[in-house]
Amino acid sequence: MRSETGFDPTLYERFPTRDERPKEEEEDLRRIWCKPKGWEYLFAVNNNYIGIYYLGTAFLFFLMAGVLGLLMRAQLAAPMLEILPQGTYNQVFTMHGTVMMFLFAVPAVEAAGVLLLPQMLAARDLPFPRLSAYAFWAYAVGGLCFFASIFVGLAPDGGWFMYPPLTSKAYSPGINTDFWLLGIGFIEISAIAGAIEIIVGVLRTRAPGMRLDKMPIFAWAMLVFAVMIVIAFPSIILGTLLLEIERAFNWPFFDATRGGDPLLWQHLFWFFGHPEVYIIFLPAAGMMSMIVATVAGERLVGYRLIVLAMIATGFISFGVWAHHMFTTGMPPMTTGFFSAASMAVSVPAGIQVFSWIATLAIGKPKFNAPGLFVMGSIVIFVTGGLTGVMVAMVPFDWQAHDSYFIVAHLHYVLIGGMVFPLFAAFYYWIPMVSRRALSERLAKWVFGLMFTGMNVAFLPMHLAGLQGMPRRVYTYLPGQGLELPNLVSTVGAFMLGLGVLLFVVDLARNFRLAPGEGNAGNVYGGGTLEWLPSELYSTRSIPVVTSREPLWDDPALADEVEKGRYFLPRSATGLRETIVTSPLLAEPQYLQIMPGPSPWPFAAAIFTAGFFLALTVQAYLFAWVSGVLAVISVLRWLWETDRPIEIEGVDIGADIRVPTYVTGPSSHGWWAMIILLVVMGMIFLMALFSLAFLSSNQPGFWRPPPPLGEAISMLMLYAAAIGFALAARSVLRRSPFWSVMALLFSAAASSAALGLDYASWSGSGLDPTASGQGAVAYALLALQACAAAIAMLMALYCAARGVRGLVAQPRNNSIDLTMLFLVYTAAQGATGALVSRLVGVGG
Amino acid sequence: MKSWLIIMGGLILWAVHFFLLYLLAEFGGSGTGVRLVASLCTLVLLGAAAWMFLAVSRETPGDPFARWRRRAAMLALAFGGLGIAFQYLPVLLIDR
Repeated sequence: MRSETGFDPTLYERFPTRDERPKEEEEDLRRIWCKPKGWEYLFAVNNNYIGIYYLGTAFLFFLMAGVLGLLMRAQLAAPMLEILPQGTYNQVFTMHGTVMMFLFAVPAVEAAGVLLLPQMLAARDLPFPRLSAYAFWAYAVGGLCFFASIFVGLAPDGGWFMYPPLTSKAYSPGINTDFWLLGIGFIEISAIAGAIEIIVGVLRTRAPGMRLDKMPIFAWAMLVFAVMIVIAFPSIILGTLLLEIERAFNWPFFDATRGGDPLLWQHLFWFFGHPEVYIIFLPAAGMMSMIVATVAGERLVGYRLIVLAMIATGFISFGVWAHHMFTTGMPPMTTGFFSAASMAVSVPAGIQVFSWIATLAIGKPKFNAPGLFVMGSIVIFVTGGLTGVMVAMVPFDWQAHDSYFIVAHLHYVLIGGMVFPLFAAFYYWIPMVSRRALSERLAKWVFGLMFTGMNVAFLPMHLAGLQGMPRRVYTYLPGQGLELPNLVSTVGAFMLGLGVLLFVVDLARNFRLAPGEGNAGNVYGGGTLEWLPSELYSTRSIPVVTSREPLWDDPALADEVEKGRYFLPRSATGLRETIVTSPLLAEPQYLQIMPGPSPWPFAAAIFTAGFFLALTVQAYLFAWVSGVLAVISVLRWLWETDRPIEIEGVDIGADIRVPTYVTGPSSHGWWAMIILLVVMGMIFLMALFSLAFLSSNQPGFWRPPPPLGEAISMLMLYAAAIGFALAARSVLRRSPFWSVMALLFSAAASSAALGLDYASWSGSGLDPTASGQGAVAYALLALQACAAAIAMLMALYCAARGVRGLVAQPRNNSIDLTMLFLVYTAAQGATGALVSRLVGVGG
Repeated sequence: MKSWLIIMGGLILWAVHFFLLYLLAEFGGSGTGVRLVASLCTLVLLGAAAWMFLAVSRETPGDPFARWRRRAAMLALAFGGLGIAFQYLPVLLIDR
């Protein structure tokens, strides 16, 4: 593969250029990427700000959830204490788990990606800065409102995995559970928005020459992480929707007495929940691999193996979800498959651990702050991994399930696999964003307290679990041998908390955030591009990458980059811009014009949060007003985008010219839409799985679906919808009017087919409240209605752009993306109409 | 897309095999017919992994990226093949 795009790689030899760049170019860059002032900080979209906001908020949630953990440990320090009443304890442990998993762990690693990736890839910013801003504000506002529920006694109390029937209306009649379902469902949407940004960012905005085999391992980790989010999170979004619908409208998805099945929730939850562990672990492992190499002063051993191990972890993690369900009575052979996969997933994790140990062994490791935390992480994570292999064995799991042994295991895995690497990352990368590095002297105390505290807190829990202490109990009786391990655990937890407190003190003393105003620099001697001198626009020029550690291999690189002797030493169009490169070989393809700061992503996030929170407290009018305002804000934010500029091609350095506007499969917008459609497809696929699952497990409640013949007219309409959508793209060259009309016809055809489908099901006499079958059949229709409504909105949006003369010919991204969505909507509708009539036909 | 399929071929085959086995057991039970179909699937997918391994190993890469991709693909196919065989063990070992 000599070239992926027709780009001549010998052109790279023109760099570094020898000419002196004019001073004004740098001033232009500073002006275009200027610092916000006052209220503008709310509307900033640059990754330097959003990344810090994101990380800071995630760390705040870590501290708050940590305090909840300490409250639990205080309550359990001795038998029969009454520090927390039982009901409050239930809320506290639910919030501790939920906040740590959903509001700290995933957002923290996503935040690290937003902050570090553009610098590491030498891009000016991630490709959809406004989407990043929206994802952050949605998460921050939604998360804080969700957390506030504990102060008014409305926090969820059903455990972080919210199993029905405990969380059904019958056993959880208040709105506590609704806070979880709507709050978490909403926050997951923000995680998916971030994942789309990261996938497109890693694959399309790498510095020229940074082929896949030269990509920093952290970028690989973030790529796998984001793909896993796209595959896993739709399952929990569907699950939360179904459970909320069951609670609000009495549709019995999980009610075994009416043809539903509570195990369906467990499948939907854990199809997300177990990959979630690796979703958290992989980016942290990516950070570890970067830091280990620097700490050891040695190139990472087994780069290719680590990349493969990460991808393999991603794959296998989707085959282990049911190991959380070994005690539910699944058939033995099914159990065996999940047991085997659960053991297999330890192989790629082991490859990474051996690679880190080998790198440290052949290098000269320094026992500085990041070094201590990575070594501590290896010890803790390996311990957690070993108990993980133990619980992968079914007979052992039957004994240990829902005991404190599991609590110990999961804390070893998550603290060793994510928290310690994150602290290593804090120490390692804070000099990149702060004028001062953190204190090495205090760091040794922080590490000592955290490492000792962690082990003192969680090691005795193995013993308590094996002695029979169940998890989620607010107290225990004396005389069962549980007093000592619990007291020791409590002492350890406070020691761990003291370590974190000391870290906060260090942050307060030394962390001086100053995006664009200088930083402490490369204090640990890292070899990757984030250590190039940078400002708000990232590096002065974008280097050609020829190795994995360019700063180690070319000591002059930083100076040449700073003098503007590589790609894009100026703003070629006077706007914010970055180079979009090809996904495999990172060959320059076009110049992306990036949107600047805007109040609309912020407004959209506030109103989206308002919509979900108002639904939770049953303020329906306010919810709908918020929802409409959120849609208007999104449309307003999009209105300013997708505008071709007058300069069609520009020189991006050394007389290499690229276009400024590209449409079709090579555009970054097309990629983002495809990923979004994968998300929607996964939600739909999980809904079909739900239908098949209930049909298989509750055949007694199944009745014949409407006849297949009734689907023929729908299929014809959906085929017409696809035809119109495809035609819209091809006729744009001749007439924007007919192109937009074709989109509207397509959306109308899909809506008409949906109407026929609904009439067919309601004519069959099946009611959504009657049985699990009815509930899922109508849920499929509801999903299709959502897709059809969005498709219609997109077609109308294109029509409005057409009226204003904003539809460029012969190709236009807005038309292309609407076409893709319409084709998907029709395909989903046709599949749903067919499959829902085929499942359980014989029943 | 071709490069991604080459690099991840072994893992994709593992995933196809795992989900086929799961769906067979979840919706078909554990009778002799299901075990035969599972065995057949395993053989076909192991064969596919072996065929892909041979095809990739015969490639003559002309540049460093193609060399990297080839070695990564061979490792993934080896790992995937072993994974498929390991994942099949419950069909042989569990008699209920």
